[in-house]
Amino acid sequence: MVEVRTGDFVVPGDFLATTEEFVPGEGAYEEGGKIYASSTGVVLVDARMKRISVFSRVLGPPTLKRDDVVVGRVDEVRDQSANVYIGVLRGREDRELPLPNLGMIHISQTHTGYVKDLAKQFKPGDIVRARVLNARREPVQLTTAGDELGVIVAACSRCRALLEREGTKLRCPNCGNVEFRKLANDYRQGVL
Amino acid sequence: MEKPEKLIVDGKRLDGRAPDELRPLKIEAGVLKRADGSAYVELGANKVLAAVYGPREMHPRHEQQPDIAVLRCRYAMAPFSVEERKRPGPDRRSVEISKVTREAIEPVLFLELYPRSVIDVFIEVLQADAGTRTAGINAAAVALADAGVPMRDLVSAVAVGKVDGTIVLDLTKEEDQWGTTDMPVAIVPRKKMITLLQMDGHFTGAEFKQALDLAFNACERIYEAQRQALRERYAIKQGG
Amino acid sequence: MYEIVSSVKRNYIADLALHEKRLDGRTFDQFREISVEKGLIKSANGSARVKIGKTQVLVGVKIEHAEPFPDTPESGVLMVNAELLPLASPTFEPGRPDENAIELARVVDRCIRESETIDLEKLGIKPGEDVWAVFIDIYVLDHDGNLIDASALAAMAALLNVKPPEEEAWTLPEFPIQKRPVMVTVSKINGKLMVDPCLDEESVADARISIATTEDGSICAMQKGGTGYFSREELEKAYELARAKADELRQHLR
Repeated sequence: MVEVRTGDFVVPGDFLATTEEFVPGEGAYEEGGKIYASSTGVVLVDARMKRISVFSRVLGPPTLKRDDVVVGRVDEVRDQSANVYIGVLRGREDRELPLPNLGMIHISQTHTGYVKDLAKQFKPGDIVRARVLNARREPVQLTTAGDELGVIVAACSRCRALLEREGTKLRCPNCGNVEFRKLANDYRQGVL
Repeated sequence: MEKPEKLIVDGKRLDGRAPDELRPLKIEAGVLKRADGSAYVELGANKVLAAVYGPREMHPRHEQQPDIAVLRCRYAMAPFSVEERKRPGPDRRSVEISKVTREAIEPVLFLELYPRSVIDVFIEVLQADAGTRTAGINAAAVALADAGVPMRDLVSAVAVGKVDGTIVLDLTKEEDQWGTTDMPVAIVPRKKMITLLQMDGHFTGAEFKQALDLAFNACERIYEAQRQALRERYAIKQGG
Repeated sequence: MYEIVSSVKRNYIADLALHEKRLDGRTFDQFREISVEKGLIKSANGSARVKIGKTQVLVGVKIEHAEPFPDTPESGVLMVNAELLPLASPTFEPGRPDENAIELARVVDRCIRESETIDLEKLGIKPGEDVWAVFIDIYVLDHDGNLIDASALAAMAALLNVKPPEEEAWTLPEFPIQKRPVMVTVSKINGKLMVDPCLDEESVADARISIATTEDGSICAMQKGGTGYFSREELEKAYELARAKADELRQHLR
């Protein structure tokens, strides 16, 4: 059998090594004592760790992991937490997410400081930018603590016109209503 | 077209091929912008496009599977792809082909990685000349790899049959129409697993074995073309 | 997910428009790159694939025998059908044509029919019994905005590519084409008018107006879409834009 080397181009199904020599890493799988490629890309042989993997040249499905930044829509605000429908993984806006795509922001993860009333931080329909704390839990645990995180688009809860920023407040250009949110520092700048 | 007196003359078929010869094959990966993965296949006069979306959220929700992803396949023919305009929309034939295509592809996917999600495979036949289902499967396998969906292997497919008493590879429309037998086969190339097999017509036991040999050999070549398509799109170019 | 992305981008695109700018750096009267390839489909009498930017539309024309309509027993029949293929966009679903597909087909139909692009009166065979039917099938392969212009251009290019059926019943020297209508869609974003909206622009536009003009600049079909509105001045400006751009697009039909 031909020995596979780092840099070799492989497609799914290509034999990489036996399980006696290596363990399968990313882009590889084991079946019947043999390791094969499960993605298209170049082989990476880690002789020290005895790991063989495939560095995928294809951007596969955007699965969420810790510290990923996501953009979603607030669907429900409760006393202790807000539920978020996660729309996109930032940087992978081209592609829909596999499930789970439901996230949750606990009141303690809203802000760097203490938050008393979650209803003054988020409202249903808000578009938020959040960071993933734990993607293994369901709903996915999110945080908006940090300047660059929080609401990036919000509509007036009375007339649904888009709210405009005025210092730390939001004002409705249509009906004059004033509201509060945990805002990202680039509220309504058009950036995901 | 009227039935020709002979479909094989002096060991050559009407288009000049030898019995075990494949029509010209062209495969291209990543041809569509919006799709998560896509591929285009030309096999003789067949022109087939495949696109993959997902794994993504499954709608309707009640069709979600709690522990695995669902694979959906849709095979369709363009109204202008055949001699007489085909009415748009699924007919019994395309529904059946969609089903066997799904069953041919499913064994190479790790559906357990994406519970409650769906992987959609759409196959559109733009120009048809017999062998569209196998061309569709070849395109779908490359499109899935192009989408970066984890796979155990690719899937390669071809039709074999019997014409004028001779076992032939990759039938044309005329051979399909006037020949005695048509047998589309899909193979998972590395492990030699047959994941699609249909047949209509007549084979003796010996002919069946000979036909399978032809199919296995041809799938090796098709597999090489599939690899090449992915290599052209994804291999790191030397010096580039 | 797409509503989320477009609600974030909406402001940005609208602000750009206010400063006479667009996402991809085009001017308001600039189309994306256009390509027209004819005769790709041998099983059709005529075919063409049009690309406008990343948008791709394939049109196949089939000419077959049909029964005439009772009110025009000697005229040929024109049928336009559009399929928003599920492979063209994550938002297109398999199944019967939805309202968008039907609108697209009908707008292209009017563009071809009302301009009398095809001389249908010449397409009779046996009055009241047998006429030629021209089927225009629009196959949307990749949706990155402005499907109307791409489809109308592809339909026109495919008609110009038609080889008549090789049958005794076909007695005309060639396929009777009289006009070359071209459709141009103008989008309104934040009060600004721009041609050839890309998908992101389409999703935030207030309204669009599609105007089909023939070689002499006369209008043969129009369709306003979207929940916004146009003022009279805006409409007149849109017409001037559409007319000027149509001449440019028509160059691709040669």
